[in-house]
Amino acid sequence: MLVNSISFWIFFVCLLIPYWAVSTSNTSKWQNWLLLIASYYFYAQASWKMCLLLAIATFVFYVLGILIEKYNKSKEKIASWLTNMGVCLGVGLLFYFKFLDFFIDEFADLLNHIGLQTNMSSFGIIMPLGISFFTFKLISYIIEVHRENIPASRNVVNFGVFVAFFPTIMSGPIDRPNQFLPQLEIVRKYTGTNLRDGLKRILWGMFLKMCIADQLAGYTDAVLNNYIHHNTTSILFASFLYSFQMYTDFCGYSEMALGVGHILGIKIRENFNRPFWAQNVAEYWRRWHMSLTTWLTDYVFMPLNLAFRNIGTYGLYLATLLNLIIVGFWHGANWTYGLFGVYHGLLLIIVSANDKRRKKFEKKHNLKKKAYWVYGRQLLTFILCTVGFLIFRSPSVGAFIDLLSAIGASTGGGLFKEGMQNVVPAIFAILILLSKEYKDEKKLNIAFLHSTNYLVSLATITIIIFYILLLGALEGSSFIYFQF
Amino acid sequence: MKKKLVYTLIFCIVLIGVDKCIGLFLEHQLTTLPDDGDRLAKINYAINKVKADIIVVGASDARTTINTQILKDSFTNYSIYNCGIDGQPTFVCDVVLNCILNRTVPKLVLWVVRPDALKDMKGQNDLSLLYPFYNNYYVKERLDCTDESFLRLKLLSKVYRFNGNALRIAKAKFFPDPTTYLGFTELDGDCTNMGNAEIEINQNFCVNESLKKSLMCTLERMQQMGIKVVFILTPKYCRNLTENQYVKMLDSVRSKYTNTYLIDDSQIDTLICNGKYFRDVEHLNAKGSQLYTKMLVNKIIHFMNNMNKSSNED
Repeated sequence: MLVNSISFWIFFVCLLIPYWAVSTSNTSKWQNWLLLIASYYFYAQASWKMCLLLAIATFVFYVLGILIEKYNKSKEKIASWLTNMGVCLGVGLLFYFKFLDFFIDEFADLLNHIGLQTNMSSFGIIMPLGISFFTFKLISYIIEVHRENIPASRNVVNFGVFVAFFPTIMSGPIDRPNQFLPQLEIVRKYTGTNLRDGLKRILWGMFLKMCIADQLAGYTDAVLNNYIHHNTTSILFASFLYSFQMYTDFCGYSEMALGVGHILGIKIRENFNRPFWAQNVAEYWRRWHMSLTTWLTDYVFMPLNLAFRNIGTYGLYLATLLNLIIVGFWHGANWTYGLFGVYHGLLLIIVSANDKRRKKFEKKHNLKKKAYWVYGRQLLTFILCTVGFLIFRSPSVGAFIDLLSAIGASTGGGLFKEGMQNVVPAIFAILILLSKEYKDEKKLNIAFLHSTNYLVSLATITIIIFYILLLGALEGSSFIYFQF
Repeated sequence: MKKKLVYTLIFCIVLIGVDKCIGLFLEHQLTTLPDDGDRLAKINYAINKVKADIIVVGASDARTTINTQILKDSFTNYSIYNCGIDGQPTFVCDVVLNCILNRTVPKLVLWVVRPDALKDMKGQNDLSLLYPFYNNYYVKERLDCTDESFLRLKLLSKVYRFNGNALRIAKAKFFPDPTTYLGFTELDGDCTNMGNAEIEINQNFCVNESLKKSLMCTLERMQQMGIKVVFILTPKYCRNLTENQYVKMLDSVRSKYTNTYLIDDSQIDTLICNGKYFRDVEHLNAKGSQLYTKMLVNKIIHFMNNMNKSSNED
């Protein structure tokens, strides 16, 4: 069931009616039960068999949380051991479902390559949807319990909702237990503000997904999947469009998830903060997929940085590189994801190493607020990120190198025009998106969708609805991040 | 609370009003375009008016390849109408034909199909030709057979029907194409310099099941009504390198019905790669269509005689 499909909205309305009806009771118990049933129903639509795995994983981590809390004060070693076991279990789940087949295939290839013939073959393991997201939630839960930042949940229903919460289970954002679980303790009453703001976020998310991401998909696929047959101009054009496709596809989903959460009275973590306005790659990573990057900063980068502190600055670089490689491989079992991590890791190291020099240079030439300097840096960051997206998109490292050669081997001819009827309205939509982001970035006191003036807000909603109906892709295609 | 309800009500009324206004405006614009307007007028005529003994349905191949005058001269006792409309996918033909069958019972239907007639609808063309007829009950009913879920709910919006076409309309208005639709006239030009051309039609072989189901319903209906049906694959310029699985599939579908016959002339020796008979790789020119229709008439007469003979024997 896709969030941008009518069946989802029928399901959501069917949930909302009893959800608000039981909000008159003094306890949030019934609302949480409803959320749990709805979340498992939603997950079962993708794969009912995997519901069992989700339920078992939830129960195991629930028990682990209670045990860790129990031993935290009395027997610290057992608590640590249990936490490590939990982390290994979570990582093991990820490894089994995402990487085992990949490594078997790679190992078999290697053996064949060096002349040792082998019949080794992969198991054909089917990856459960959203596994990267819910395992990270489970891991963060036991770590937080062990660090005594949160008490262990004593309510299996609430904990089940935290793990399987339907707006976020497929593509995040990755919620943190210390923010999510306390919200389940209180009754979420219907409020007009929640409904209105939630609907506005959903509408904006749909606009991003249907008017930009889905409209660009046909063109970028046509060019980047067949780059051999296209000239440099077309490939470069499609590459830049792909950056926007990727961003709006993922951000669109996050906006819809946040909107759904908002209507249900549950605050979900923000996932994006205008990443294409970043002035360097470090800033970009503070704005892109924030729920993942903050998760990794807290649970991977910080401990690594601490572990490598003896080697000074190099330790920081090493921690950065490893952190980004994990970010890359988190997306899936392919060397291109590893390369994506290494690429961004090296960029971050370069940024970090030159940070002081850059600041000095900016100060000396008074460049910090100069428009050309700021926009130039933003453009450079965007180009560098586009290269990253091309690595990310390529089916193999070899294919990425071939793509680069195709860009380099300039051939004549104009822009590839097939599918332009979808690209043109998408470019208009990108301009709308950039204008909105510019307004937010500069903190201009203008509001359209969220205006307090009823007429302005209503007119904006009407325009967006008709833009989607007239120029959006209404087929309801899947989201790129569902595969992770 | 009351104020909010009033606001919501006003908002819904504005939304419906704007939807209707934009929808009507687009419909008007679409019907006044030189190319689309002509095609829509023909679909409208076919759905609401056509009455003939022999009806030709299909896309541009039907319009340009089947010479209606030669058919008329050969079947003097029959009235003939050629419903061939450019860019009309199999599904649209199916819907239009069903609308015709609601009003009249022709004796013979000549259904010109493309070599990949049962392929995914989106792969062939869009369904934009049916937009103005979505209110027609029968069109709506046939559209329910498609893969599109909640279509009736979506059709509540008039603007929804024109999704993706607003820009096309704007482009046609502001940058008009000098080559307009040519009615039933045959095509000029030839492909004499083209040489040999080969294709593989079955790449990504994928049959649209809802289209197949819809087609079978129509064939069943025509069998019950005693209408003879001939599927025709008109000559193509290119030589197909592989056995056409779509044609095989179409043949297996039609073989379930005794009143149905398939003439596969897509690879006919006399015409294949013969540039002087083709306007482009898909369409015969005037010379080619005259030659081909004469050949086709003989095959149709042969089929009708066989059918009559077998019905007399029964």
